[in-house]
Amino acid sequence: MLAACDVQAQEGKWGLGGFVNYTLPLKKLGDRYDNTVKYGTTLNYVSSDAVTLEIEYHYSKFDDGKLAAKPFFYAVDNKSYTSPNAKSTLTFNSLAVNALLFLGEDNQSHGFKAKDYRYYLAVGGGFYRYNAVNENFVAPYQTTKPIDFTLVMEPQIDKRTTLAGNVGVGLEAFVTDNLALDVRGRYNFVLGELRPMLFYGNTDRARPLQLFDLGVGLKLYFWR
Amino acid sequence: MNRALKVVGKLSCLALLLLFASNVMAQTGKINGSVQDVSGGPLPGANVVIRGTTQGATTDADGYFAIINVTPGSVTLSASLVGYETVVMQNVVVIGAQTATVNFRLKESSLELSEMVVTAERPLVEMDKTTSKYTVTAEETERMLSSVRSTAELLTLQPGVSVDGSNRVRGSFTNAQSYGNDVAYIVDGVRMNHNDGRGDGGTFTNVNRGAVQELSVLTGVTPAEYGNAQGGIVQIVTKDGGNQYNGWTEYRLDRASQRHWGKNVYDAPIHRENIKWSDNTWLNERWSALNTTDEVLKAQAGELIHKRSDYTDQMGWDVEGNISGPIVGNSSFVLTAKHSRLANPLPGALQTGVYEGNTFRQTGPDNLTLSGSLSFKPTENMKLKVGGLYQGYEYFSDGVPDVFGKSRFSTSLLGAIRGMGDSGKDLFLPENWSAAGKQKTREELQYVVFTHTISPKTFYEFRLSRSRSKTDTSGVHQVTTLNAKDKSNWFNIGREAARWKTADRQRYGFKLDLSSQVNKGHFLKTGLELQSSNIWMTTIYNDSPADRGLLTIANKGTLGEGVKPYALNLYVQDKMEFEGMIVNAGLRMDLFNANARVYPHGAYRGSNMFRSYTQARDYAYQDGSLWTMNAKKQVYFSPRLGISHPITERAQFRFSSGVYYQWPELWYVFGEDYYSAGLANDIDVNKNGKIDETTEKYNTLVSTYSGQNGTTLLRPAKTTNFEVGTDWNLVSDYTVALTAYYKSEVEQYTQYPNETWAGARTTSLLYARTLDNGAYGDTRGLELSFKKAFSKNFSFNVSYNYQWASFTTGKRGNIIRNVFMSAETVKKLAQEIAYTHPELNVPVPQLWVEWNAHASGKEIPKVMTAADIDKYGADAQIRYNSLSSSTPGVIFGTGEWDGSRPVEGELGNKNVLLQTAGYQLNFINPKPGDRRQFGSASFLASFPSDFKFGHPIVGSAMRNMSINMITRLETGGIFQYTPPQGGYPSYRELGMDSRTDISVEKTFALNARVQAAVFMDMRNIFNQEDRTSPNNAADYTYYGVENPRVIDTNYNLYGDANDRTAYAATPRLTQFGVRLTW
Repeated sequence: MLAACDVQAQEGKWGLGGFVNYTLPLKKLGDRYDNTVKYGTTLNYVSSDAVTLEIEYHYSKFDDGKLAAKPFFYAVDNKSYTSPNAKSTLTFNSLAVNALLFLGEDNQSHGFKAKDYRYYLAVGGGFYRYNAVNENFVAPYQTTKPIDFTLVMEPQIDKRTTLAGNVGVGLEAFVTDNLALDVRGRYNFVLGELRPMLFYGNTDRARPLQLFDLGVGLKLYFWR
Repeated sequence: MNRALKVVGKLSCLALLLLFASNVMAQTGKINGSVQDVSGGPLPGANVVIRGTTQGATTDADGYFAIINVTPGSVTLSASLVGYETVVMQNVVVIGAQTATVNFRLKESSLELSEMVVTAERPLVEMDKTTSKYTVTAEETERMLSSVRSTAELLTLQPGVSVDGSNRVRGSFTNAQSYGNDVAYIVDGVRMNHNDGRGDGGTFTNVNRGAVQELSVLTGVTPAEYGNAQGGIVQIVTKDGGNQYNGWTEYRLDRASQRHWGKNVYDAPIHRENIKWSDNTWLNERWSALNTTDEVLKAQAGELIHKRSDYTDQMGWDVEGNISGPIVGNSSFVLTAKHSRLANPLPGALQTGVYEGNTFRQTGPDNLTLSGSLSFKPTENMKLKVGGLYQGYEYFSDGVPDVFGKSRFSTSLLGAIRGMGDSGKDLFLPENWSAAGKQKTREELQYVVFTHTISPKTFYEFRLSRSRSKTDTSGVHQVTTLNAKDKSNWFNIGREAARWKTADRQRYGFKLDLSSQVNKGHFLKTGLELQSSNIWMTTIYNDSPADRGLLTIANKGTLGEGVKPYALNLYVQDKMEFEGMIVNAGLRMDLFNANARVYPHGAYRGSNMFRSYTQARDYAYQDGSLWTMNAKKQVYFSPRLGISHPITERAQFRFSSGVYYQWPELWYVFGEDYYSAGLANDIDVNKNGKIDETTEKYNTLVSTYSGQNGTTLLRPAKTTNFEVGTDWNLVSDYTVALTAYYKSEVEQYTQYPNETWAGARTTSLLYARTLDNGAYGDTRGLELSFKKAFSKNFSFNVSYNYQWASFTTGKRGNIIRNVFMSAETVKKLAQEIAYTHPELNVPVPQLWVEWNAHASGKEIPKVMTAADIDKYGADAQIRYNSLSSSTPGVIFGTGEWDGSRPVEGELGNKNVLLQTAGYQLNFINPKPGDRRQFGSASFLASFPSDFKFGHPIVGSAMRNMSINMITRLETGGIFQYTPPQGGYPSYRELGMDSRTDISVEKTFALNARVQAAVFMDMRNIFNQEDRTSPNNAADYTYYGVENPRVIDTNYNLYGDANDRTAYAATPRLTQFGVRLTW
């Protein structure tokens, strides 16, 4: 009961955090990119003992996209080639508003005390900006033999600032009364699309973009 | 046992009804409920009254009451009974065609006049909703004034409505040529839009925002009260003036910027090396004295030709306002007006003065959109509302005959108007000028609605309406001269153009509706509607002296004389309430009579008898001719059914189904399309040295061989609609509605049939086209609405559709139609005198091929001699032998002859035959404009004057502020695609497109009655540049490439010629505005 009163006393408190995630692209996005690291920062506001609101910015970059290594068929000499200098990258710069929902009265009574912890359901949404660039892909529509590897297509760019949602679970473990370690797993759903490139490994469009994050962060609640 | 009996009773009622559905009370709503004491016992005899009116009801023995004919909006109810405390329920929201249920509990009280005030909560799930309907109230509209610029934009945020501005509903054919608009816009029970204008008339659907009390989109099974709309219904109930003067006025400033993607058009690759800003000779080239009668072109002599316009530096603005209030006694008024002077996004005849509709932009510096109404209550039981809508503008015409496009090869006339026409070669034509003159367009609607409540349970309404679409062109020329060019022979510098249009379409309507709450379980509504029209249209579209065209809608070919079709519609509908279950059942009858004498078969237009405009006018429509027929009345019945049932207190399930008919665009019933076939001049038949106006004018214009003409044999397109869905109040004020729908579309229109005259003739290229009912398709989809009502300072609304809308023209008999006959039939018809011409007093046979000249200037049919009969009979017999022996068999690989049958009417009995052929099967195509997925999300945050958040500075800044963010998103257009490895083609999608807009508004109270708001409305805030039409759709799919290939030499030299046009949304555009509300 005393702990619950302590938590209620935190209402209106602000916090600042940073996190590092391990991000796994899923489904067709996973056919194009390997896992990468996501960095981010959060601004937190304790709305009630059950809800903390969070404004999140994050950045991630997927280098070495798999498309760059995929062969294409050159009809002029009936052979397959790969583009020697091709590069495929995907970058996210995103802003989201999340609600951390602390379920259960007992759970809500914890936190804001050293060595105490509480778990939560994270639900959020916002605008994710992605920029996918495939560059230096050899133009497969050439008509001469042998193929000219220096003749490359213009970069194929898909970029968009679009709605995205995320849902996940996490645990907030307090190192001190105001410093918390945050462990979180989240599924991200981005209303975006990466174009098809059927000549390169029969790669069809990716839509929507789906990712799973697993990460850890630190949050400092500092001001009220 | 009791429950079982009830269920059996409900099912029996359903089985017995054999009626089908709709919502009732489309323009007004109903309030029902019960009055009980605190222990739940019924209180009979309690009075329930709508405050401020005399509308009310007394509870029955069960404590039940119902108040019908309630104007949509928010009302205050009171329930009173002697010995009990009066309960006042505020903010009861009534929606047209829906029932608001309000239950009172009265506490015993010895005090007189004691009163308890309660605020009603709007039910988040309307349990009596039996089909998909999305309603936006005036309150919700007013919250979004900064971000939603028109009622049409408001529609794009509703589930099922396309987000691209075309306002298709669930894959409908909206604005397709053959149908016109298959979504009906109904204002105060009167239809606004009519499909009688060959695309450019009767499309008026705009009601100013300040006039709207309630806007509903019915995407599912619409009421039996409404017909001729297989796509859906948009229903608008306008405001009545209240007992206080109020309104708002808004001014928006449109910031100057480049309003298109790519380079400034004066530097764009489309012009390649033809614009030479560094070449002084080119820069200093001046207009020579053109040999023209056009005063503007004459005055250009000596002026510099290649002048750059500062079109990206133009600001624009628009202003909209409304006022409403009492007049005298029980009368009130509402008046709204809107005027736009936006900047032209491209160089044009005018640089400002643009009026912007949802899907079009038109220069019209005098544009004005008005609406207004007067409401008068002579007695407590009567209400009279007189309303009107108006939209008009005048603009320099580009000479395009109509939005359908010209019937033959080109759609615009090069060298006629300044702009991007002729691939940008029209860029240096004079400003404030068009070779085709100025076109004036006026749309208006007036109506009277009289409502009389004859008892607490019964009322009737009648509506009288008149609408008119009028078009005229001023400053026209008599001939189209050849196009003049600059010295580089690249840019057009002007011409004269005989391209003009004059049209008048007047429609009159009478509608009588009777509504009655027959008993507790049945609300019955029945009505009849009579609509009649008077429509004519004359359009000249001459491309050159020798290339002339004429489009007409005219009674018996007499230009300027209207056709007068009429429709009579009857309906009956019953809303049945069975202890929670609601059944909406209805039946509609549509009768249409074209009321005109027309050709049943387009092929007759190819005969030598009626080949030219004057020949057809003078001989086709006379009594006695068998080649034309009086149109037959067509009658169709369309049943509708809808059922809803509560699942829990916060969820309901619904099912509905209905049949819809859609008459064709009336051009395809009455239209005639003629062209000159290369003949520059009309023929002086009587050799009097001039072309006689009434007899010889247009006598060389012949039926256009690929033109689309009218026929009264068309049947209405038919759609059968099914949907199941659920509305569920998840938690608090969050609701979700999920609907699965299927539309089976049959008897749809295809434009392919080539109708060829294969009887006696002198030439071989003799076919015309009419529509055919051969096409079909279906649409399946899922529709999601997820919304939160406004509370706790925010609301949101998410709409999403996943849909397959497909269509095919595949049907046998829709490609070729030949009318043919034997030599024997030729002989019989040639020897039969059809009539004696009333003016010329000459006998006219049923069949002739050759002509004689008459002194009047008319040609007169030459009665065939025996030799002629032998000659033309033998000619016809050759084709008869060929066609009559072409029993069903393969043509064109996948096509097949159908065999022959007699033609329509008496000629069929005389062995004139029709042979048809067509494809057995055509591939199913996506519908035009179809998107597999589309939707929008709007989020509104609005903070009151006492809002507190965080630091006082932050909280104070947020007070009286509202932020509205709207995202629209759709997956890509669909194209036919052949896989890289070959094989059968399939359909794939192009890239998706999206746009996010934001508006921010801050309100200041100037005094107790007046508020001022300043706002910013930004479109495409993320400057999203989505290319919807790549240079090559297959390249996009194979290689992910949108621009031309890098081996394209033109591209490498000049860049992408489509850098301006191929995108979904414009670049980021910002408007700033101020609004005064009082």
